[in-house]
Amino acid sequence: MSFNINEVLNNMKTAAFDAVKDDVHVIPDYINEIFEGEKDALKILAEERLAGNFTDEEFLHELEREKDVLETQMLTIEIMTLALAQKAINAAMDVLIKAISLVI
Amino acid sequence: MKTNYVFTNTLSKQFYLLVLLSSFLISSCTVQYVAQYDETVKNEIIRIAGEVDKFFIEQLEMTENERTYLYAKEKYLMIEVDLNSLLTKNEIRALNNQSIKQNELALKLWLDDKEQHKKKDKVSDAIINSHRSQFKRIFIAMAKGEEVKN
Repeated sequence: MSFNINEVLNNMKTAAFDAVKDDVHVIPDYINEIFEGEKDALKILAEERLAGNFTDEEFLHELEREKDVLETQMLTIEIMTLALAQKAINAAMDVLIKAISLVI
Repeated sequence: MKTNYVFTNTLSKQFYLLVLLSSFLISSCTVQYVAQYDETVKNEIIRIAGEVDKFFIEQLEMTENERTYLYAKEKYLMIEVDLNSLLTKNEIRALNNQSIKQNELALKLWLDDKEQHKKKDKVSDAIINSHRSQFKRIFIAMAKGEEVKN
């Protein structure tokens, strides 16, 4: 049994792609969800401020809290990215290990 | 004869290199960048999210004057304990820095709610609606962050 590095690398690439192709959309989908939610929240905050339901101090305080909400959501994007990278790398490595096992 | 020796020697080197490489790969065959998925953590996030939402809905049913800190104190403490307990669960897991930070931010905003309520001894509809939306987005982010580790 020979070890064809080009074939193995192609198979690794395919395995990595296949491992994440059904999940990769979660990142842009969630980014859209985050900014749609933020748009709604900021619109309501502005309306409440104009209606006099928030003082200036409360309004600024709410904006500060919105920053923490956004940071929490961005951390989820970071986890999604790492989890997808992990999945792709492990699928590719699995192909490499199997290819090596066949020739030794 | 010499050519044959060189050829055999090269093949032998390739074989040993392959064995060495495979030993290395088999011993470290997977990478891990995020903590293992924990369904109990995800369920706990969803449970706390429900408790927080119930707390805000109950307050919306009351008049502003009825929303005293004394009325809400027990609930604030209960949720604070729940968020602290969740933080401990997150902290003991390896490769979990992002979830720990999310949990700390949720706790920070919850303690801010408690302090603001204590200071003013009342809460407006506008604040309740804003905070209800903020916590909903935070708990969704935390639950999605756990789910994606699966």
